[in-house]
Amino acid sequence: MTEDVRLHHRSCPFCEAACGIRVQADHGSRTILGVRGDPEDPFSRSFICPKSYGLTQLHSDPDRLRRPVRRRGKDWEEMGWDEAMDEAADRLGTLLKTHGPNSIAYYLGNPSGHKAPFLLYGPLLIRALQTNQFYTPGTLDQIPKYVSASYMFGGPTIQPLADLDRTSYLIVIGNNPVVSQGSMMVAPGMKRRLEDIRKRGGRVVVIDPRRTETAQIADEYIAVRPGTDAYLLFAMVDVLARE
Amino acid sequence: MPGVVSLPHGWGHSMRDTRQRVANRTIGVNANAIIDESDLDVPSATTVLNGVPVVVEAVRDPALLADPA
Ligand code: SF4
Repeated sequence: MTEDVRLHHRSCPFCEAACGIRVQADHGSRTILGVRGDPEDPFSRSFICPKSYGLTQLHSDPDRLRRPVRRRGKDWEEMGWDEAMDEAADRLGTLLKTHGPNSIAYYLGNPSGHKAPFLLYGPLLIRALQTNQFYTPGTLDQIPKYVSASYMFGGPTIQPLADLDRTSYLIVIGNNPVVSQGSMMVAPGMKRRLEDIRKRGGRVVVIDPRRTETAQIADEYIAVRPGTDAYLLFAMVDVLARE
Repeated sequence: MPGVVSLPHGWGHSMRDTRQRVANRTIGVNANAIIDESDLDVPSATTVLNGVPVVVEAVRDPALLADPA
């Protein structure tokens, strides 16, 4: 190991599971040599998924944005940071005045949620823009849960998450945590956790149109036709209420 | 289950201006291409991304099979 090669302990920025990772980086050539799960992380216990291994490729991907870009007709051109900040401030102000706040859309990627600058300044910017055009990866899979939590518990972030490490009966509906690592459940090493439920004598039931990787390690798999889950849930509520 | 096809989200980056040369060398197609973005779950204003009715046919025109990148 040369002097330039150093080991860094970080957490993976790609999802809420925030797995502990060990990154070996060559500071001379500015390359990542390897990413491994951190066995000393008490939460992820050396688990990482393929996305984290991919950090090595992502870092050297020639398509990765390294400088701000501006669209010029059909093409994009690189620009300096100061110039980009000035232009954004100028044009955001003009857009707000002439077309109103909803003419501006805001997209927030997952890794931003793991970064202090965003956590400090992002909400201020969003509030200043006052746009309701606000998108994140959660727009694809979490917003309906925010809505239901607001109705049921009084706020979007008051979420009833499964107590995976203690429950004795887990029903997984339309979710493939063995691959996704549970997303909002924030539980890296999901396969081990589900197997532990069964080892404790508990049961895991998967309801999904597809026989998923999670279904393959469950006690029971139930297929439903896509788009009919609301009927299934109503039927379950009906049974609960009646029996 | 019979009558159901599964097409994962997150693949296919060949739309105009995506500038994804590396990602485009991987396999996969863009599920968004067959999703109707005006079809919303009204209470949450979320696009309906799953349970999309589809018809599957073999592609006979070789031009349609060419690599879009
Ligand atoms: S589950 Fe995968 S993407 Fe999520 S934090 Fe862990 S390694 Fe990263």
